Amino acid sequence: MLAIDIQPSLMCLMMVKNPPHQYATKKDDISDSSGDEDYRSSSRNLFKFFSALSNDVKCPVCFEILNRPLMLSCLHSFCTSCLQEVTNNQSVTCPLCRCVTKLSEKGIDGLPINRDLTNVCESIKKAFEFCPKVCDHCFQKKVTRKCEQCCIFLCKGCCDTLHAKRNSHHTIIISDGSSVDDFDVESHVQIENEFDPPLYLPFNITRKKCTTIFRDWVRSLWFAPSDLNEKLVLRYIKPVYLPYWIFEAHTTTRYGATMSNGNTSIPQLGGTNNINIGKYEKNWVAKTNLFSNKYRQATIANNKLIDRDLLIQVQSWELSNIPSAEVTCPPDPKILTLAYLLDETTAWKKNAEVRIKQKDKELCEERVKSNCPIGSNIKDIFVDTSVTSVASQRVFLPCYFIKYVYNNENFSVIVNAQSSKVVGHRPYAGIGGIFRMFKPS
Amino acid sequence: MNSLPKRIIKETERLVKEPAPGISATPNEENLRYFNVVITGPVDSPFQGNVSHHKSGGVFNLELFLTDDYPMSAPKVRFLTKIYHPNIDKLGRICLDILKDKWSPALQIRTVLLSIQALLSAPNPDDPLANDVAEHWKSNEKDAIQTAKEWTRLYAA
Repeated sequence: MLAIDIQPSLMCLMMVKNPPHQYATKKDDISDSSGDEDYRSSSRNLFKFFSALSNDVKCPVCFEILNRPLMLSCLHSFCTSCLQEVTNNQSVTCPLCRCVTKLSEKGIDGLPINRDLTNVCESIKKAFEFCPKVCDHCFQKKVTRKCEQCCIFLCKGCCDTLHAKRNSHHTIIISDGSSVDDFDVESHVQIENEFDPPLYLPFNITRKKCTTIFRDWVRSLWFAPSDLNEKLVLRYIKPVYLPYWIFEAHTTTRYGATMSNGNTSIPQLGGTNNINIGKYEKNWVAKTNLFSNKYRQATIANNKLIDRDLLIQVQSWELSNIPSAEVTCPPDPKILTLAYLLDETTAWKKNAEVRIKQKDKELCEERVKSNCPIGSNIKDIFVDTSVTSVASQRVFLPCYFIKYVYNNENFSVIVNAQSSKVVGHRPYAGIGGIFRMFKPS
Repeated sequence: MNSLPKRIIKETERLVKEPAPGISATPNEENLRYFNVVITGPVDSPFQGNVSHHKSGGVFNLELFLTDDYPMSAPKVRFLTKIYHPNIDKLGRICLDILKDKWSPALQIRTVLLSIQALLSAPNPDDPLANDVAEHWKSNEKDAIQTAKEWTRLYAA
Protein backbone atom coordinates (compact mmCIF):
# COMPACT_ATOMS: atom_id res chain seq x y z
CA MET A 1 0.00 0.00 0.00
CA LEU A 2 2.99 2.26 0.33
CA ALA A 3 2.84 3.86 -3.04
CA ILE A 4 5.46 6.48 -2.29
CA ASP A 5 9.17 6.45 -2.49
CA ILE A 6 10.34 5.51 0.96
CA GLN A 7 13.99 6.28 0.38
CA PRO A 8 13.80 10.11 0.62
CA SER A 9 11.52 9.90 3.62
CA LEU A 10 13.93 7.74 5.51
CA MET A 11 16.72 10.07 4.52
CA CYS A 12 14.65 12.86 5.91
CA LEU A 13 14.14 11.00 9.17
CA MET A 14 17.87 10.54 9.38
CA MET A 15 18.37 14.20 8.63
CA VAL A 16 16.22 15.12 11.56
CA LYS A 17 18.37 13.00 13.83
CA ASN A 18 21.81 13.98 12.56
CA PRO A 19 21.87 17.11 10.50
CA PRO A 20 24.32 16.53 7.69
CA HIS A 21 27.51 18.48 7.79
CA GLN A 22 26.69 21.04 5.13
CA TYR A 23 23.58 22.17 7.01
CA ALA A 24 25.48 22.79 10.16
CA THR A 25 28.72 24.46 9.13
CA LYS A 26 28.96 27.89 10.55
CA LYS A 27 30.35 29.84 7.66
CA ASP A 28 28.01 28.28 5.17
CA ASP A 29 24.68 29.20 6.56
CA ILE A 30 23.55 31.96 4.30
CA SER A 31 21.22 29.83 2.35
CA ASP A 32 21.78 28.53 -1.05
CA SER A 33 18.17 28.35 -2.07
CA SER A 34 18.77 24.76 -3.09
CA GLY A 35 19.33 23.63 0.46
CA ASP A 36 16.08 25.21 1.49
CA GLU A 37 14.10 23.40 -1.16
CA ASP A 38 15.72 20.13 -0.19
CA TYR A 39 14.47 20.48 3.29
CA ARG A 40 11.00 21.39 2.19
CA SER A 41 10.66 18.49 -0.20
CA SER A 42 11.97 16.05 2.40
CA SER A 43 9.49 17.16 5.01
CA ARG A 44 6.79 16.75 2.41
CA ASN A 45 8.00 13.21 1.79
CA LEU A 46 7.93 12.58 5.49
CA PHE A 47 4.32 13.67 5.59
CA LYS A 48 3.46 11.46 2.61
CA PHE A 49 5.24 8.58 4.26
CA PHE A 50 3.18 8.88 7.44
CA SER A 51 0.01 9.41 5.42
CA ALA A 52 0.63 6.21 3.53
CA LEU A 53 1.36 4.37 6.77
CA SER A 54 -1.81 5.68 8.34
CA ASN A 55 -3.95 4.44 5.42
CA ASP A 56 -3.44 0.91 6.72
CA VAL A 57 -4.77 1.72 10.16
CA LYS A 58 -7.79 3.79 9.20
CA CYS A 59 -11.27 2.85 10.28
CA PRO A 60 -13.32 1.84 7.22
CA VAL A 61 -16.36 3.60 8.71
CA CYS A 62 -15.12 7.05 9.73
CA PHE A 63 -11.92 7.08 7.60
CA GLU A 64 -9.93 8.34 10.58
CA ILE A 65 -7.00 6.62 12.26
CA LEU A 66 -8.60 3.94 14.45
CA ASN A 67 -9.59 5.17 17.86
CA ARG A 68 -9.77 2.45 20.54
CA PRO A 69 -10.27 -0.34 17.97
CA LEU A 70 -12.50 -3.23 18.99
CA MET A 71 -12.20 -6.58 17.29
CA LEU A 72 -15.12 -8.59 15.89
CA SER A 73 -15.24 -12.38 15.61
CA CYS A 74 -14.17 -12.05 11.95
CA LEU A 75 -10.99 -10.30 13.24
CA HIS A 76 -11.88 -6.99 11.57
CA SER A 77 -11.38 -3.96 13.83
CA PHE A 78 -13.31 -0.67 14.04
CA CYS A 79 -13.40 2.37 16.30
CA THR A 80 -15.45 1.86 19.44
CA SER A 81 -17.61 4.87 18.57
CA CYS A 82 -18.23 3.60 15.03
CA LEU A 83 -19.34 0.15 16.23
CA GLN A 84 -21.69 1.85 18.64
CA GLU A 85 -23.49 3.36 15.66
CA VAL A 86 -23.53 0.13 13.68
CA THR A 87 -24.83 -2.25 16.37
CA ASN A 88 -28.42 -3.16 17.22
CA ASN A 89 -27.19 -4.02 20.75
CA GLN A 90 -27.55 -7.76 20.24
CA SER A 91 -25.13 -8.27 17.40
CA VAL A 92 -22.80 -6.43 15.05
CA THR A 93 -22.68 -7.06 11.33
CA CYS A 94 -19.14 -6.44 10.18
CA PRO A 95 -19.17 -3.46 7.81
CA LEU A 96 -16.42 -5.11 5.77
CA CYS A 97 -17.45 -8.77 5.46
CA ARG A 98 -21.00 -8.84 6.87
CA CYS A 99 -20.06 -11.55 9.38
CA VAL A 100 -22.34 -11.34 12.39
CA THR A 101 -20.75 -11.11 15.84
CA LYS A 102 -23.12 -11.86 18.70
CA LEU A 103 -22.77 -9.51 21.62
CA SER A 104 -22.91 -10.45 25.29
CA GLU A 105 -25.11 -8.55 27.73
CA LYS A 106 -22.29 -6.03 28.04
CA GLY A 107 -22.93 -5.06 24.43
CA ILE A 108 -20.08 -3.38 22.58
CA ASP A 109 -18.02 -3.22 25.76
CA GLY A 110 -17.81 -7.01 25.78
CA LEU A 111 -15.76 -6.98 22.57
CA PRO A 112 -11.97 -7.33 22.91
CA ILE A 113 -9.77 -4.28 22.36
CA ASN A 114 -7.18 -4.78 19.68
CA ARG A 115 -4.24 -3.62 21.81
CA ASP A 116 -1.42 -3.99 19.30
CA LEU A 117 -3.37 -2.03 16.74
CA THR A 118 -4.18 0.62 19.35
CA ASN A 119 -0.46 1.07 20.04
CA VAL A 120 0.36 1.36 16.35
CA CYS A 121 -2.39 3.95 15.88
CA GLU A 122 -1.22 6.04 18.81
CA SER A 123 2.36 5.98 17.49
CA ILE A 124 1.24 7.13 14.05
CA LYS A 125 -0.83 9.94 15.55
CA LYS A 126 2.26 11.08 17.44
CA ALA A 127 4.35 10.85 14.30
CA PHE A 128 1.95 13.23 12.59
CA GLU A 129 2.42 15.79 15.30
CA PHE A 130 6.13 15.59 14.65
CA CYS A 131 6.03 16.30 10.96
CA PRO A 132 5.33 19.68 9.39
CA LYS A 133 1.77 20.20 8.37
CA VAL A 134 1.18 20.11 4.64
CA CYS A 135 -1.98 21.10 2.81
CA ASP A 136 -4.57 18.30 3.07
CA HIS A 137 -5.49 18.80 -0.54
CA CYS A 138 -2.34 19.20 -2.61
CA PHE A 139 0.15 17.67 -0.13
CA GLN A 140 2.61 20.23 -1.43
CA LYS A 141 2.34 23.56 0.27
CA LYS A 142 2.41 24.79 3.78
CA VAL A 143 -0.89 25.05 5.62
CA THR A 144 -2.16 28.58 6.08
CA ARG A 145 -5.91 28.03 6.08
CA LYS A 146 -8.27 25.94 8.10
CA CYS A 147 -11.94 25.54 7.36
CA GLU A 148 -13.92 25.18 10.58
CA GLN A 149 -16.84 23.42 8.89
CA CYS A 150 -14.81 20.99 6.85
CA CYS A 151 -12.13 20.53 9.52
CA ILE A 152 -9.44 20.54 6.89
CA PHE A 153 -6.13 22.33 6.59
CA LEU A 154 -5.33 23.95 3.29
CA CYS A 155 -2.80 26.15 1.60
CA LYS A 156 -3.97 29.47 0.19
CA GLY A 157 -4.18 28.24 -3.41
CA CYS A 158 -6.25 25.16 -2.61
CA CYS A 159 -8.46 27.13 -0.24
CA ASP A 160 -9.19 29.68 -2.93
CA THR A 161 -10.16 27.05 -5.47
CA LEU A 162 -12.03 24.71 -3.14
CA HIS A 163 -13.77 27.30 -1.07
CA ALA A 164 -14.23 30.01 -3.65
CA LYS A 165 -18.00 29.74 -3.62
CA ARG A 166 -18.45 28.37 -0.13
CA ASN A 167 -16.96 31.24 1.74
CA SER A 168 -20.32 32.55 2.82
CA HIS A 169 -21.15 29.38 4.74
CA HIS A 170 -17.72 28.39 5.91
CA THR A 171 -15.47 29.96 8.47
CA ILE A 172 -11.96 30.08 7.14
CA ILE A 173 -9.25 30.59 9.72
CA ILE A 174 -6.16 32.20 8.38
CA SER A 175 -2.70 31.91 9.78
CA ASP A 176 0.48 33.13 8.20
CA GLY A 177 1.93 29.67 8.72
CA SER A 178 5.11 31.25 9.91
CA SER A 179 6.16 28.70 12.43
CA VAL A 180 7.62 25.83 10.51
CA ASP A 181 8.40 23.40 13.27
CA ASP A 182 5.09 22.88 14.98
CA PHE A 183 2.43 24.49 12.94
CA ASP A 184 -0.62 24.98 15.03
CA VAL A 185 -3.36 26.96 13.40
CA GLU A 186 -5.19 27.54 16.64
CA SER A 187 -2.34 29.34 18.36
CA HIS A 188 -2.08 32.40 16.17
CA VAL A 189 -5.18 32.95 14.17
CA GLN A 190 -7.02 35.85 12.75
CA ILE A 191 -10.57 35.13 11.85
CA GLU A 192 -12.01 36.51 8.64
CA ASN A 193 -9.23 39.00 8.47
CA GLU A 194 -6.62 38.65 5.78
CA PHE A 195 -3.11 39.63 6.79
CA ASP A 196 -1.93 42.91 5.46
CA PRO A 197 -0.16 42.17 2.27
CA PRO A 198 3.60 42.46 2.60
CA LEU A 199 5.51 45.36 1.13
CA TYR A 200 8.39 44.79 -1.20
CA LEU A 201 10.91 47.59 -1.07
CA PRO A 202 12.58 48.41 -4.38
CA PHE A 203 16.13 47.44 -5.27
CA ASN A 204 18.07 50.70 -5.39
CA ILE A 205 21.26 49.19 -6.73
CA THR A 206 21.89 46.85 -9.61
CA ARG A 207 23.90 43.68 -9.37
CA LYS A 208 26.76 45.43 -11.20
CA LYS A 209 26.75 48.31 -8.74
CA CYS A 210 26.64 45.76 -5.93
CA THR A 211 29.82 44.15 -7.25
CA THR A 212 31.52 47.55 -7.13
CA ILE A 213 30.27 48.18 -3.59
CA PHE A 214 31.52 44.76 -2.55
CA ARG A 215 34.96 45.33 -4.08
CA ASP A 216 35.21 48.73 -2.39
CA TRP A 217 34.29 47.10 0.90
CA VAL A 218 36.98 44.45 0.44
CA ARG A 219 39.58 47.16 -0.33
CA SER A 220 38.58 49.15 2.74
CA LEU A 221 39.11 46.28 5.16
CA TRP A 222 41.83 46.70 7.73
CA PHE A 223 44.23 43.91 8.45
CA ALA A 224 43.02 41.96 5.48
CA PRO A 225 45.39 39.73 3.56
CA SER A 226 47.08 41.92 0.96
CA ASP A 227 46.11 39.65 -1.89
CA LEU A 228 42.48 39.36 -0.82
CA ASN A 229 41.01 41.48 -3.58
CA GLU A 230 42.90 39.65 -6.34
CA LYS A 231 42.72 36.15 -4.98
CA LEU A 232 39.14 35.95 -3.76
CA VAL A 233 36.74 34.05 -5.96
CA LEU A 234 33.16 35.23 -6.09
CA ARG A 235 30.84 32.25 -5.90
CA TYR A 236 27.65 34.16 -6.40
CA ILE A 237 25.78 37.41 -5.95
CA LYS A 238 22.17 36.58 -5.36
CA PRO A 239 19.34 39.09 -5.03
CA VAL A 240 17.13 38.14 -2.11
CA TYR A 241 14.14 39.57 -0.30
CA LEU A 242 14.73 39.47 3.46
CA PRO A 243 11.58 39.37 5.57
CA TYR A 244 11.15 41.94 8.32
CA TRP A 245 8.44 42.75 10.78
CA ILE A 246 7.99 46.46 11.28
CA PHE A 247 6.32 47.52 14.47
CA GLU A 248 5.01 50.97 15.13
CA ALA A 249 4.41 51.41 18.83
CA HIS A 250 2.98 54.31 20.79
CA THR A 251 4.27 54.64 24.30
CA THR A 252 3.31 56.60 27.37
CA THR A 253 6.06 56.93 29.86
CA ARG A 254 6.06 58.18 33.40
CA TYR A 255 9.56 59.22 34.25
CA GLY A 256 11.24 61.29 36.89
CA ALA A 257 13.99 61.65 39.40
CA THR A 258 14.82 63.21 42.68
CA MET A 259 17.07 66.19 42.24
CA SER A 260 18.67 68.65 44.52
CA ASN A 261 18.24 72.36 44.09
CA GLY A 262 21.68 73.58 43.05
CA ASN A 263 21.23 77.05 44.57
CA THR A 264 20.85 75.92 48.13
CA SER A 265 23.94 73.80 48.26
CA ILE A 266 25.98 76.52 49.90
CA PRO A 267 28.88 75.49 52.04
CA GLN A 268 28.25 76.30 55.69
CA LEU A 269 30.90 77.97 57.76
CA GLY A 270 31.88 76.18 60.86
CA GLY A 271 32.79 77.69 64.21
CA THR A 272 36.38 77.73 63.24
CA ASN A 273 37.89 79.11 60.10
CA ASN A 274 37.89 75.76 58.47
CA ILE A 275 35.34 75.23 55.82
CA ASN A 276 33.35 72.22 56.68
CA ILE A 277 33.17 70.68 53.25
CA GLY A 278 31.12 67.73 54.31
CA LYS A 279 28.10 69.72 55.32
CA TYR A 280 25.82 70.78 52.52
CA GLU A 281 22.27 71.65 52.99
CA LYS A 282 20.47 69.95 50.16
CA ASN A 283 16.86 70.27 49.15
CA TRP A 284 15.86 67.07 47.43
CA VAL A 285 12.82 67.47 45.24
CA ALA A 286 11.08 64.60 43.46
CA LYS A 287 9.89 65.42 39.97
CA THR A 288 7.81 63.29 37.67
CA ASN A 289 6.71 63.82 34.15
CA LEU A 290 4.71 62.16 31.40
CA PHE A 291 6.05 61.59 27.93
CA SER A 292 4.38 60.10 24.87
CA ASN A 293 6.26 59.01 21.82
CA LYS A 294 6.03 56.88 18.71
CA TYR A 295 8.69 54.35 17.74
CA ARG A 296 9.35 52.32 14.66
CA GLN A 297 11.27 49.12 15.04
CA ALA A 298 12.21 46.65 12.34
CA THR A 299 12.95 43.07 13.24
CA ILE A 300 14.25 40.47 10.87
CA ALA A 301 11.83 37.56 10.58
CA ASN A 302 14.13 34.89 9.27
CA ASN A 303 17.11 34.23 11.48
CA LYS A 304 17.79 30.68 10.46
CA LEU A 305 19.78 31.36 7.35
CA ILE A 306 22.02 34.10 8.60
CA ASP A 307 25.03 33.70 10.76
CA ARG A 308 24.67 35.09 14.28
CA ASP A 309 27.15 37.93 14.15
CA LEU A 310 25.88 39.03 10.75
CA LEU A 311 22.34 38.83 12.06
CA ILE A 312 23.02 41.36 14.80
CA GLN A 313 24.19 43.86 12.20
CA VAL A 314 21.38 43.10 9.79
CA GLN A 315 18.92 43.42 12.64
CA SER A 316 19.92 47.04 13.16
CA TRP A 317 19.24 48.07 9.60
CA GLU A 318 16.59 50.72 9.67
CA LEU A 319 14.08 50.21 6.93
CA SER A 320 13.36 53.38 5.05
CA ASN A 321 11.67 54.50 1.85
CA ILE A 322 8.59 52.54 2.66
CA PRO A 323 6.22 53.25 -0.17
CA SER A 324 2.62 54.02 0.56
CA ALA A 325 1.36 51.79 -2.24
CA GLU A 326 0.96 48.19 -1.28
CA VAL A 327 2.95 45.73 -3.32
CA THR A 328 1.70 42.27 -2.56
CA CYS A 329 3.88 40.15 -4.76
CA PRO A 330 7.56 40.38 -5.56
CA PRO A 331 8.14 42.83 -8.42
CA ASP A 332 10.54 40.31 -9.89
CA PRO A 333 9.26 36.79 -9.23
CA LYS A 334 12.66 35.31 -10.05
CA ILE A 335 14.18 36.89 -6.96
CA LEU A 336 14.32 34.53 -4.03
CA THR A 337 11.96 35.57 -1.25
CA LEU A 338 12.95 34.19 2.12
CA ALA A 339 10.16 32.80 4.25
CA TYR A 340 8.80 34.33 7.44
CA LEU A 341 10.06 32.05 10.15
CA LEU A 342 9.14 34.29 13.04
CA ASP A 343 5.54 35.05 13.79
CA GLU A 344 4.34 38.46 14.77
CA THR A 345 3.87 37.79 18.48
CA THR A 346 7.29 36.26 18.94
CA ALA A 347 8.97 38.99 16.92
CA TRP A 348 7.32 41.61 19.09
CA LYS A 349 7.84 39.93 22.45
CA LYS A 350 11.37 38.74 21.90
CA ASN A 351 12.79 41.65 20.07
CA ALA A 352 10.90 44.78 19.14
CA GLU A 353 9.28 45.43 22.52
CA VAL A 354 12.58 45.16 24.37
CA ARG A 355 14.33 47.46 21.94
CA ILE A 356 11.58 50.05 21.96
CA LYS A 357 11.51 50.11 25.76
CA GLN A 358 15.29 50.47 25.78
CA LYS A 359 15.12 53.38 23.35
CA ASP A 360 12.40 55.03 25.41
CA LYS A 361 14.41 54.57 28.58
CA GLU A 362 17.47 56.20 27.06
CA LEU A 363 15.42 59.05 25.70
CA CYS A 364 13.73 59.74 29.03
CA GLU A 365 16.94 59.54 31.01
CA GLU A 366 18.37 62.03 28.58
CA ARG A 367 15.41 64.34 29.23
CA VAL A 368 15.88 64.06 32.98
CA LYS A 369 19.53 64.98 32.67
CA SER A 370 18.95 67.91 30.34
CA ASN A 371 16.23 69.30 32.62
CA CYS A 372 18.47 69.26 35.60
CA PRO A 373 19.97 72.65 36.46
CA ILE A 374 23.73 72.86 36.31
CA GLY A 375 25.36 72.15 39.60
CA SER A 376 22.53 70.10 41.03
CA ASN A 377 22.50 66.41 41.70
CA ILE A 378 20.15 63.67 40.48
CA LYS A 379 19.28 60.43 42.09
CA ASP A 380 16.63 57.71 41.80
CA ILE A 381 15.92 58.11 38.13
CA PHE A 382 12.96 56.00 37.12
CA VAL A 383 11.43 55.33 33.74
CA ASP A 384 8.19 53.42 33.53
CA THR A 385 7.27 52.75 29.92
CA SER A 386 3.93 51.36 28.90
CA VAL A 387 3.17 50.52 25.30
CA THR A 388 -0.26 51.84 24.45
CA SER A 389 -0.70 50.53 20.94
CA VAL A 390 1.20 48.45 18.43
CA ALA A 391 0.74 48.09 14.71
CA SER A 392 2.73 45.71 12.59
CA GLN A 393 3.55 45.33 8.97
CA ARG A 394 5.45 42.84 6.90
CA VAL A 395 8.16 44.27 4.72
CA PHE A 396 10.65 42.62 2.44
CA LEU A 397 14.05 44.28 2.31
CA PRO A 398 15.97 43.81 -0.92
CA CYS A 399 19.49 42.49 -0.35
CA TYR A 400 22.27 40.81 -2.22
CA PHE A 401 23.71 37.69 -0.68
CA ILE A 402 27.30 37.31 -1.72
CA LYS A 403 29.48 34.31 -1.23
CA TYR A 404 33.18 34.31 -1.89
CA VAL A 405 36.01 31.92 -1.38
CA TYR A 406 39.45 32.90 -0.24
CA ASN A 407 42.14 30.44 0.63
CA ASN A 408 39.66 27.56 0.45
CA GLU A 409 37.40 29.17 2.99
CA ASN A 410 33.85 30.35 2.44
CA PHE A 411 32.77 33.85 3.44
CA SER A 412 29.35 35.44 3.38
CA VAL A 413 28.44 39.06 2.80
CA ILE A 414 25.08 40.78 2.74
CA VAL A 415 24.60 44.06 0.90
CA ASN A 416 21.54 46.12 1.67
CA ALA A 417 20.17 47.01 -1.75
CA GLN A 418 18.33 49.99 -0.27
CA SER A 419 21.05 51.73 1.68
CA SER A 420 24.14 50.05 0.16
CA LYS A 421 25.32 49.08 3.63
CA VAL A 422 27.56 46.05 3.78
CA VAL A 423 27.99 43.45 6.49
CA GLY A 424 29.99 40.32 6.09
CA HIS A 425 32.62 37.82 7.05
CA ARG A 426 36.20 38.38 6.06
CA PRO A 427 39.59 36.81 6.47
CA TYR A 428 42.22 38.48 8.65
CA ALA A 429 45.84 38.65 7.74
CA GLY A 430 47.86 36.32 9.88
CA ILE A 431 51.13 37.46 11.41
CA GLY A 432 52.76 36.48 8.14
CA GLY A 433 50.23 38.59 6.33
CA ILE A 434 50.92 41.66 8.39
CA PHE A 435 54.57 41.08 7.91
CA ARG A 436 54.05 40.95 4.17
CA MET A 437 52.19 44.24 4.33
CA PHE A 438 55.30 45.99 5.44
CA LYS A 439 57.61 44.24 3.06
CA PRO A 440 58.33 46.22 -0.08
CA SER A 441 57.33 44.15 -3.00
CA MET B 1 -25.61 24.57 7.70
CA ASN B 2 -24.53 21.54 9.68
CA SER B 3 -20.88 20.74 9.71
CA LEU B 4 -19.92 18.13 7.18
CA PRO B 5 -18.42 14.92 8.58
CA LYS B 6 -14.76 14.56 7.75
CA ARG B 7 -15.47 11.30 6.03
CA ILE B 8 -17.64 13.02 3.41
CA ILE B 9 -14.95 15.62 2.79
CA LYS B 10 -12.34 12.93 2.34
CA GLU B 11 -14.55 10.97 -0.02
CA THR B 12 -15.36 14.06 -2.05
CA GLU B 13 -11.74 15.02 -2.33
CA ARG B 14 -10.76 11.61 -3.55
CA LEU B 15 -13.67 11.43 -5.99
CA VAL B 16 -12.65 14.73 -7.53
CA LYS B 17 -8.93 14.04 -7.47
CA GLU B 18 -8.88 10.38 -8.53
CA PRO B 19 -12.15 9.70 -10.31
CA ALA B 20 -13.00 6.10 -11.12
CA PRO B 21 -12.93 5.40 -14.87
CA GLY B 22 -16.22 6.29 -16.51
CA ILE B 23 -17.59 7.90 -13.36
CA SER B 24 -17.62 11.51 -12.29
CA ALA B 25 -19.26 12.89 -9.19
CA THR B 26 -19.34 16.61 -8.47
CA PRO B 27 -20.66 18.01 -5.24
CA ASN B 28 -23.23 20.79 -5.43
CA GLU B 29 -21.78 24.14 -4.42
CA GLU B 30 -24.78 24.96 -2.25
CA ASN B 31 -25.23 21.55 -0.65
CA LEU B 32 -22.15 19.42 -0.28
CA ARG B 33 -24.26 16.34 0.42
CA TYR B 34 -25.79 16.50 -3.04
CA PHE B 35 -23.78 15.19 -5.98
CA ASN B 36 -24.25 15.43 -9.71
CA VAL B 37 -23.07 12.11 -11.09
CA VAL B 38 -22.23 11.15 -14.66
CA ILE B 39 -21.69 7.50 -15.53
CA THR B 40 -20.68 6.44 -19.02
CA GLY B 41 -22.21 3.19 -20.23
CA PRO B 42 -19.82 0.25 -19.87
CA VAL B 43 -18.14 -1.16 -22.96
CA ASP B 44 -19.97 -4.14 -24.55
CA SER B 45 -23.22 -3.24 -22.86
CA PRO B 46 -26.36 -1.90 -24.54
CA PHE B 47 -25.66 1.38 -22.77
CA GLN B 48 -22.29 1.94 -24.43
CA GLY B 49 -23.65 4.27 -27.07
CA ASN B 50 -22.90 4.09 -30.74
CA VAL B 51 -19.15 3.62 -31.00
CA SER B 52 -19.14 2.79 -34.71
CA HIS B 53 -20.41 6.27 -35.51
CA HIS B 54 -17.66 7.80 -33.39
CA LYS B 55 -20.17 9.31 -31.12
CA SER B 56 -19.28 9.56 -27.49
CA GLY B 57 -20.71 6.65 -25.54
CA GLY B 58 -23.90 6.62 -23.52
CA VAL B 59 -23.76 9.28 -20.86
CA PHE B 60 -26.12 8.87 -17.92
CA ASN B 61 -26.82 11.59 -15.41
CA LEU B 62 -27.68 10.60 -11.87
CA GLU B 63 -28.25 12.42 -8.63
CA LEU B 64 -26.84 11.19 -5.33
CA PHE B 65 -27.78 12.46 -1.91
CA LEU B 66 -26.08 11.64 1.38
CA THR B 67 -28.65 11.61 4.17
CA ASP B 68 -27.82 12.89 7.65
CA ASP B 69 -27.33 9.25 8.71
CA TYR B 70 -24.67 8.61 6.14
CA PRO B 71 -22.50 6.48 6.36
CA MET B 72 -24.86 4.56 8.68
CA SER B 73 -27.50 4.51 5.97
CA ALA B 74 -27.11 4.22 2.23
CA PRO B 75 -26.95 7.25 -0.06
CA LYS B 76 -30.02 7.98 -2.16
CA VAL B 77 -29.25 7.54 -5.83
CA ARG B 78 -31.50 8.05 -8.84
CA PHE B 79 -31.05 8.07 -12.60
CA LEU B 80 -31.99 11.37 -14.18
CA THR B 81 -31.44 10.12 -17.71
CA LYS B 82 -34.08 7.78 -19.09
CA ILE B 83 -32.75 4.23 -19.33
CA TYR B 84 -34.21 0.90 -20.49
CA HIS B 85 -33.08 -1.49 -17.81
CA PRO B 86 -34.96 -4.19 -15.85
CA ASN B 87 -33.62 -2.95 -12.49
CA ILE B 88 -34.23 0.74 -13.04
CA ASP B 89 -37.75 2.12 -13.21
CA LYS B 90 -39.35 5.02 -15.03
CA LEU B 91 -38.53 7.41 -12.19
CA GLY B 92 -34.88 6.41 -12.28
CA ARG B 93 -35.03 4.46 -9.01
CA ILE B 94 -32.48 1.70 -8.80
CA CYS B 95 -32.98 -1.81 -7.48
CA LEU B 96 -29.66 -2.67 -5.93
CA ASP B 97 -29.21 -4.60 -2.70
CA ILE B 98 -26.38 -2.45 -1.35
CA LEU B 99 -28.61 0.61 -1.61
CA LYS B 100 -31.15 -1.12 0.61
CA ASP B 101 -30.75 -3.93 3.13
CA LYS B 102 -27.20 -4.86 2.13
CA TRP B 103 -25.82 -1.41 2.84
CA SER B 104 -22.68 -1.34 4.98
CA PRO B 105 -20.99 1.75 6.37
CA ALA B 106 -17.72 0.52 4.90
CA LEU B 107 -19.16 1.13 1.44
CA GLN B 108 -18.58 4.53 -0.11
CA ILE B 109 -19.93 6.80 -2.81
CA ARG B 110 -17.26 5.39 -5.09
CA THR B 111 -18.20 1.76 -4.48
CA VAL B 112 -21.90 2.53 -4.88
CA LEU B 113 -21.30 4.18 -8.24
CA LEU B 114 -19.05 1.32 -9.36
CA SER B 115 -21.82 -1.10 -8.43
CA ILE B 116 -24.32 0.88 -10.46
CA GLN B 117 -21.92 0.85 -13.39
CA ALA B 118 -21.63 -2.93 -12.98
CA LEU B 119 -25.41 -3.22 -12.88
CA LEU B 120 -25.50 -1.63 -16.34
CA SER B 121 -23.18 -4.38 -17.59
CA ALA B 122 -25.19 -7.14 -15.96
CA PRO B 123 -28.93 -6.49 -15.90
CA ASN B 124 -30.75 -8.86 -13.58
CA PRO B 125 -34.32 -9.47 -14.86
CA ASP B 126 -34.95 -12.01 -12.09
CA ASP B 127 -35.05 -9.28 -9.48
CA PRO B 128 -36.91 -6.61 -11.42
CA LEU B 129 -38.02 -3.16 -10.59
CA ALA B 130 -39.46 -2.29 -13.99
CA ASN B 131 -41.66 -5.34 -14.57
CA ASP B 132 -42.46 -4.67 -18.21
CA VAL B 133 -38.79 -4.24 -19.10
CA ALA B 134 -37.87 -7.39 -17.17
CA GLU B 135 -40.57 -9.37 -19.01
CA HIS B 136 -39.26 -8.06 -22.30
CA TRP B 137 -35.74 -9.03 -21.27
CA LYS B 138 -36.76 -12.54 -20.30
CA SER B 139 -39.01 -13.23 -23.31
CA ASN B 140 -36.83 -11.71 -26.03
CA GLU B 141 -33.44 -10.60 -24.77
CA LYS B 142 -32.14 -9.66 -28.20
CA ASP B 143 -35.07 -7.37 -28.85
CA ALA B 144 -34.85 -5.88 -25.34
CA ILE B 145 -31.17 -5.13 -25.82
CA GLN B 146 -32.06 -3.49 -29.13
CA THR B 147 -34.58 -1.25 -27.31
CA ALA B 148 -32.00 -0.45 -24.63
CA LYS B 149 -29.52 0.58 -27.35
CA GLU B 150 -32.22 2.69 -28.98
CA TRP B 151 -33.02 4.43 -25.69
CA THR B 152 -29.31 5.01 -25.09
CA ARG B 153 -29.02 6.64 -28.50
CA LEU B 154 -32.15 8.73 -27.93
CA TYR B 155 -31.64 9.90 -24.36
CA ALA B 156 -28.03 9.28 -23.36
CA ALA B 157 -26.06 10.51 -26.36
